[in-house]
Amino acid sequence: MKDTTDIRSLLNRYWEGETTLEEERRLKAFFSNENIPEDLQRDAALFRALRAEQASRMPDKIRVVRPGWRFWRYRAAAAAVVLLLVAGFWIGQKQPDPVITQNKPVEKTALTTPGMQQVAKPIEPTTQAQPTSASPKRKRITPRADSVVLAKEDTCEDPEEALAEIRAALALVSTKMNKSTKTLEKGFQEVEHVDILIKRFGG
Amino acid sequence: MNWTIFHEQVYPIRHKLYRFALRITGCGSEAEDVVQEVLERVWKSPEAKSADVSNWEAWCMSLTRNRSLDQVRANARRRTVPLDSLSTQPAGADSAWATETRDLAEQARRLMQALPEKQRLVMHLRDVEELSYEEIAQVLDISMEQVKVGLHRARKAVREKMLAVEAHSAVGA
Repeated sequence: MKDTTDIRSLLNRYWEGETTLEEERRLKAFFSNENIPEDLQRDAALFRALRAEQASRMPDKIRVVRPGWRFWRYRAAAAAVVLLLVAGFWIGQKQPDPVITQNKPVEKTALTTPGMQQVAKPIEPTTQAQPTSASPKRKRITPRADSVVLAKEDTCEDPEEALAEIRAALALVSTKMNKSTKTLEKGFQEVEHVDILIKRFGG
Repeated sequence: MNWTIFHEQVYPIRHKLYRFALRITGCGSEAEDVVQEVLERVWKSPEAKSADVSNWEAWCMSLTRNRSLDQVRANARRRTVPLDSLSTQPAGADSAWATETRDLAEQARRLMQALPEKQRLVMHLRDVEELSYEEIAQVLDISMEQVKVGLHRARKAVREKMLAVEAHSAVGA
């Protein structure tokens, strides 16, 4: 072979523990050839053993699943449930249980602000202003005889109070949702830690 | 533990960890268990710890070494055969020894496996995993001087044993 002298020199330095990593790679490459001189066959055996060792692989029994994708179905389901709850709450706030009245006078809060009065006007065309002694802001509403009126039952007489009530309710829901989200996240993390994302096939 | 670091720097070296564990324990299934435990431990390591690790490979190799040695001690069975106890003389013309000597690579592997622990690990990390002296020192928690001395002695021992086997084979032929 051409560079046997150089290789023999490298080999001597290898056995003395004086070669660099690059030089050791050269030796491995050289001894991976088939045409090795007879007197170097024993040395070649060692380097072949080293190369075989380098090529050995761990049995593919371990797999890793990215944490964010591991429970995507459960997460999607949880997100859908939360979305439905939020939507339901929002709709419920906007349209509470209606009270069906027929041919009966309905107590209706008339708001004193000009803008609110304008809003209230279209739904009570036959209304006659009847200020009561208990509350000068209330009006007696008399629907048409053949009409069915859907009216809201008010529990607050003061708009400011109603606004405060709504704010409090929304704050409560927000707090509960935040708490639930945190609990859910914590649960996911614990499950991930238990499984460690590394699962043995059949294990 | 950061997923990106785990996926890009830790998981790909699992084969390297496995070979190292196998070199210490001498048992494939035990080496697999060791690697799995090491990967789990690395994954569970807190972010603060993760930030401190500059060389993930060396750190994982060090964990693998410690866990493998624990495994060996727990099992109380070392599979290493002392180098001197390996016979260099054929036991018979039709013995298993005659078959083994035909597979020189396998013989060389056995000679390496028969080295004392420190020499065996130094030679494995250098000649199989191609780590620098500094990395080997970090993994084995020894000085670089000890690495160089250990490597020199390991190669010298393997070389002498190979020559002895060759000489006995020539005499027997």
